Amino acid sequence: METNLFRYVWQKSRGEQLLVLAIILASIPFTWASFNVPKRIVNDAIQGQAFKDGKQTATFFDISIGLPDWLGGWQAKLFDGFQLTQIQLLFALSFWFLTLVLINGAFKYIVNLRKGILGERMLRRMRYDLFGLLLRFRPDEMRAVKPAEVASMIKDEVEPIGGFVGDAFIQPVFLLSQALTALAFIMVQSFWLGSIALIIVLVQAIIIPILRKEQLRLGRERQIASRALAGRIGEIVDAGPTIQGHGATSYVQSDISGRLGNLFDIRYALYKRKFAVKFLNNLLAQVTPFFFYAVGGFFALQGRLDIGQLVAVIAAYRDLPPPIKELIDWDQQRNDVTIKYEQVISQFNADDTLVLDETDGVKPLPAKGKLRFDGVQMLDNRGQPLLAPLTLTIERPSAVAVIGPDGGARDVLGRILGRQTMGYSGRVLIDGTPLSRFSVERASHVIGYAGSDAEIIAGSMRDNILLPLKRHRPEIKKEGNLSLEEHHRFIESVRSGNTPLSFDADWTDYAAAGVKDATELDGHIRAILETLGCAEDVYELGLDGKIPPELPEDARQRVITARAAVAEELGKAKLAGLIETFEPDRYNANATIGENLIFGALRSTRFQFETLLFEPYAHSILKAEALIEPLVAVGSRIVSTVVEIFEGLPQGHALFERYSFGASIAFDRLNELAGILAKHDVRAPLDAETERDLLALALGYIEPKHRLNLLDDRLRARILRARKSFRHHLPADAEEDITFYDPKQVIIGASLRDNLIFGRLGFGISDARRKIAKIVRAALKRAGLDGELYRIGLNTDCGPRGRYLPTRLKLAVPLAQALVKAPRIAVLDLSRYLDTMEDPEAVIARIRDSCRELTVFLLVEDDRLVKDIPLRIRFEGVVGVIESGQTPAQEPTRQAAE
Amino acid sequence: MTLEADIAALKKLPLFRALPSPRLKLVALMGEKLSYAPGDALVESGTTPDGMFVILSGEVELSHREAGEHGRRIRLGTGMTVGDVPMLCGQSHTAEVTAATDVVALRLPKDIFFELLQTVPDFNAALTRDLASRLYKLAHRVLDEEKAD
Repeated sequence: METNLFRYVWQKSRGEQLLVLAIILASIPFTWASFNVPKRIVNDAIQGQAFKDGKQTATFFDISIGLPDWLGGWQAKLFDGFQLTQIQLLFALSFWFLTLVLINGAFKYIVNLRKGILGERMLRRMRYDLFGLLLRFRPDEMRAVKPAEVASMIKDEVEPIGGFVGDAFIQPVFLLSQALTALAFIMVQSFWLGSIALIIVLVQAIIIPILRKEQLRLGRERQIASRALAGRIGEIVDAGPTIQGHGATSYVQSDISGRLGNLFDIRYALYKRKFAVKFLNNLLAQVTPFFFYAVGGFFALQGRLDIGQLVAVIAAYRDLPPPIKELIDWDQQRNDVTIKYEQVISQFNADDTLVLDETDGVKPLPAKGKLRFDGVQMLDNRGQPLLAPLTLTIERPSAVAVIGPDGGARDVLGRILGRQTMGYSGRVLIDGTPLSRFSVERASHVIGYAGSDAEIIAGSMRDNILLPLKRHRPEIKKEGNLSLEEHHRFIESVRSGNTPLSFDADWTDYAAAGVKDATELDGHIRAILETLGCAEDVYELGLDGKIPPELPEDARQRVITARAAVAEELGKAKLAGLIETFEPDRYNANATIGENLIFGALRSTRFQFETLLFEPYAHSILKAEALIEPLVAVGSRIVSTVVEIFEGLPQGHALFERYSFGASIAFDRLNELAGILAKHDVRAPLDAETERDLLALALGYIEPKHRLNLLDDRLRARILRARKSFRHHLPADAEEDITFYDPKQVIIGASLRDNLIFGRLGFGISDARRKIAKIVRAALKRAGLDGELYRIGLNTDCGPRGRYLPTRLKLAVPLAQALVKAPRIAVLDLSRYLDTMEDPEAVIARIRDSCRELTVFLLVEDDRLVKDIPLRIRFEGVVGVIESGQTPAQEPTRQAAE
Repeated sequence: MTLEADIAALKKLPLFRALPSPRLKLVALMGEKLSYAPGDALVESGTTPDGMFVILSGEVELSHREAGEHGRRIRLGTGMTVGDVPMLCGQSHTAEVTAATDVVALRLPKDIFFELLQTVPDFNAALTRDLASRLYKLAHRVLDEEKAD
């Protein structure tokens, strides 16, 4: 990117800048006229100079063009003007003045608007360009940047630069034209007054920038300090849990405090400077009228200046200091912004960047070829070897096992092949071309890399898996079919040098995956997940997915059918005892008290257990059924038991979470509650918050799970009664908050699993979940809901950094990403993924089978898993030992060189 | 069965005899109480252990798949533990464990087992003592067999 801001701005926005400059030039005569009219109002209309010689009328608005006297004084009259009396002249001139004010205002408005738009366009372009540069970073550099700092640069620091861009050329011209017009006008009226104004302006223009130098230096310091602060905060947030865990919070706080203090000092010094300069500026600006009144008045008395001129000079002078001041401001801003720009650009202009795209499409790599490592080695920044020199030739396609411990040289080799690092020496040659010379686009087509530290981006699992295929440039629609909005979006993108391709368009490269459309692609993803052995987990995920209210009627019907099928199947398999189904008239022992009470799925937070007591409707029901007191008593018993069990356990919290009561009540709060209960006088009522929390605990209680023997038949009967009245009297406005359990209805807002099981798993039966899962899957298949289920599973939101995904799927996502685009070379770090699998050998066999046509590098820790792969690179430490297998049929094609 | 009954049952076991009452409650609460019919498998051989079983009532039978029908079968009764040894040394189950009678067992899932080991010294001591006594018995038997030869 251009390192000089002005050159950058001029290159990218010449046309628009020139247009605005032309508008400014056009405005100058009007500014001049607006200075001149007050003089005529005072002299001709008020003082009556135009009517001096007994003339009844004066000429107004005569238009003539001519040359100044010193050029011969030639004149031509274009319009003779109107003849007006003194009063008429006064009003005519005043309205003419008003009109000029409006015209000048309009010019200012147009110029400012144009400038603003220009600035915004440049800001958009600059942010986009910077982001583009970031994407060209070599992977090592990319990893070295602090995300918070870069984000702050792209987002905040370029903002003032963008604002300035509109001003870069226009503002000085605009202001200078204003100032010079005013100054010239004063000069024409009176040379002396003009000279005074000029001298003061010069003083302002020379002294103030000198004073401001220090201000600029401080400003720069402030920018660096605050950026470092942003980076540090980002770092601390990333390491937040660790810092808390080590109790280093105070230490970290003192670091931040020190930085804030430093920032404060800089800002303090800055303010002192700023207001000193402001003071001087104001003083100079206001001293000038003193000279005007004194000297101008003196001239007027002497008759060397008429009153009209004096008034006009003073009026014109009003317009002189603001532009000068703004001009000085502009100059300061220029310095400031130039420094900022250079600062930011230097962060982004790396010496050695990658080529992003191929100019004329990617040439596919032939199916057969050679892959050669030529003395590939890597050192860390202290010069210690991470990977000892490795030389090896591999015929493509083939399978290579790379064996070694996690995080060692094995992973380094994987990263080199996957182009995740380029700081190595030696060469990796793919059919003779060094890997480091591949463009990003080509490398992404050729290589599929799945490392252990892959990031999951926000979105669904499908979005994540399909990310590698999002490389098919969507076609730009023909002009005619564009809606007005799309058209506007398109034009603006092009004007700002951004890509006009819409993010919402279909970017999927179906051809690369070898499929025709989205439906086939779904099948493709499924096949890959089956290869990896985690398709079942996606179904599981789908089972946990909530049923949305917009589920179509036929799907609802199928869910109900499947529910019946599950019940029937369970009966057949003699597993009916596994599940206690929801029945409107019976207490479900394996569900919580709260669930028995409300007997429905919660679709909002309105009736959540934590605050149920404070919900007016629920409160009235609980009160009417006299349930508050017994439930609070249950809560009290829970508190005393739990506090007793966990007392004195230093890290008992993890265990405590296991024994949770559904309600998210922290252990500390439990201790607090125990304290309150111990001190509590039985006769006095408990305070509302204590009651609320005790009730919440009681609502999460499940007898067979928690086994505290707190429920008796009377309490159950009362809860059943409350269940009836709760449903019966439910206010109309709560209908969206809850779906009651009904054997013939789909439970909107509950998971698909709950809908099918329609009950709760019994506690005390081993492997209940697994046994049920099989039956549920079979029932879904028969009801034709298989595909739907799988889709729901894939559409599960991954959460921030994949937090909502089970570990196995989280590890499977990068592998699926690497395979989905059908690369020529796949580098798969399998060691952590295989740890989660029950049958790792089968996974490897399936992967090898599906990757027969590619060169696949399998990074594993346990060499027993890959014993039948003939070519193995085994790392002990940083040295890779090549073990060439003895499989005779393939022997000639695979050999280890050197 | 209530918690009190479970605790009473646990208290009878040598493994937990020395454990103070609140800790015993903790173990009882953290475990899942499971019941098996005769012939049900508690553990299949070759699988990775995911929990320890404490037999609260009934008898289980250990058998090796490789040994076939005539292999040596070991019966374990109330108070014995299954699965702690392979879990501790990170190996898979060597034997199949099936219920010989109606069995009620307390299963401590793997994560809780280790959590208990790390956070509850009493549990740690009790388990160590139990392992040591089993080792002692085993050594004794090996010596006896050698003598018999």
